Amino acid sequence: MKGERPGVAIVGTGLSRIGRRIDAPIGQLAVEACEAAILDAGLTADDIDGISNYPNPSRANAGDVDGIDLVSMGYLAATMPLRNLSWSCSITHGTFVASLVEAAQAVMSGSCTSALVYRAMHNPLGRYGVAGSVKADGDRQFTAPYGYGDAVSSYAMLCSRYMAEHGVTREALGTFVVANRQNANRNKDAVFHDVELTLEEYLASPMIVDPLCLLDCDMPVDGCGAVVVTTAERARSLPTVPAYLAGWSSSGLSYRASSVTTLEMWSERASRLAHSLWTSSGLTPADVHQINLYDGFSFLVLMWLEAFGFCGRGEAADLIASGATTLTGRLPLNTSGGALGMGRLHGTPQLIEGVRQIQRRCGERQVDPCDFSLVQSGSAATGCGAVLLSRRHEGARTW
Amino acid sequence: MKDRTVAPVAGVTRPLPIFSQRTEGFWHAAMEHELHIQACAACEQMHHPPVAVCRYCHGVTFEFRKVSGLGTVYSSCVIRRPRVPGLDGLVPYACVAVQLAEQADVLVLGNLVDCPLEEAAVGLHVEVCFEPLSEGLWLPQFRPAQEAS
Repeated sequence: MKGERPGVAIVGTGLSRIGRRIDAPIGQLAVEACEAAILDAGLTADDIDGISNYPNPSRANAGDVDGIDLVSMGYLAATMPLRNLSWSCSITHGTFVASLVEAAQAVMSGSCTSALVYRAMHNPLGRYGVAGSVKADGDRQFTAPYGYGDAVSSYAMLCSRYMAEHGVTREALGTFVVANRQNANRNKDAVFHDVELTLEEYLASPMIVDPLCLLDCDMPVDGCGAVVVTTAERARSLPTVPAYLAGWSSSGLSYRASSVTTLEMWSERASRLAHSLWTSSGLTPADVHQINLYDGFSFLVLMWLEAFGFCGRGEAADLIASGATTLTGRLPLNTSGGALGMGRLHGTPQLIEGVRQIQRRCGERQVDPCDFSLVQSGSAATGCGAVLLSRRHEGARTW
Repeated sequence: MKDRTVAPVAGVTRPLPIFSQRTEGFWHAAMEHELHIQACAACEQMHHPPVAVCRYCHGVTFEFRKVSGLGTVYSSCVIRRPRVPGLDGLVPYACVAVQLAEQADVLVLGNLVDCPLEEAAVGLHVEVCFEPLSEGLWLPQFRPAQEAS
């Protein structure tokens, strides 16, 4: 690094086939995505000396067979194969972007030079999110007897408090979901690429757990996304436009002191993630040209817009209704269609879109200019990570 | 004296709580149709679910304290499709997180019973009641608070 400005950059992205149910094990889909990301970076598997991921199975009780229900780093390293690993890290909380943050720090510190980060998810047979059996032990003894505690009911409870506190309506959530679908309609990789949506159809979609309807929940899929992160120095000799990491932050906090996630706890942790991100980069919301926020459930996007300071508390619905977050607005949001449009891949639709927007590879949904992009995934309730991407090397975070 | 019990829903088998020394005070009180919440013996702050270490004073000695069972709905949801085996016959049903009158940051989960689902909303005043489970156990539940007679 002598005489070189340090910093790290994402230099390759890859997606596997993505579909509701794909007739291929996710072990194969992970290899597809990782090979594509390494090829995109102009590297070979032998150049990869670091690996990081968030391997958790897609849902509870979904099984834990490596290569079928999940893809661990060891499985991927053996299957690719990756022969030259000197650093590996598997995180338990935070999803795709938080695992990228670990890789960025490993590259920055010299633990490795080129790290592969991926997230593979499987949509098992059977109704999604329904437990095969429930043991009401531990703290579940205070929730399971009430038929409460799965992801949808937990987030519905948080959503109802958010909506009540700020007067947010189902129409407001629907306005976001419909605009988001228009983004997915411009993305051939999205599971909802060919399916248009109106507000009337949103309002008529079946309620799963009030106040959340089917279209507030991301679509479970089989698929994988991957990126390669390397040093700024190495990035300069590679074929793609680097997406420099201007800042990052991560939260692995998942403990909660009550049986439900409170809006206060969620907002406090989200604000902490946001503050850390802005501080690490020296940037402000006004600098960002394009935003990618986690949308496992629709309302989380509104809460993240507020947490990052793109608007005040309780103002996200108005911001979205104003059109500011559409492709032609001043803050284009989840232009890939996010997980609601592309499929449930835990931050993959956010991160890969952010990188490709910086690289100006997004075709009809390209944001111009796009010099700074914000990417976040995960929930403040269970762990999350965020990065700011920059087209300019001088924007890269340094020691 | 006011009847604090509610009938179980026919055909519904709820997962039975598996409790420990840390939590048994809650369930033993429910068998007597009372709501007891864990309180730190040193600083008197209440915790739910029960904890091993008090996060206010780091105390490790606790007792279970009787509370009124009155509270306000902090958040709610209505479950339309079965999420848990045995509860198919219960849908649709409401879950509420109740802020206890005695300490607002103590939230107790329950189903909202004896009440139309549309009324499961933030701010509703509720009171505890008790639903029989098997094996002699009783489950604390919540219903709209009735005016004092």
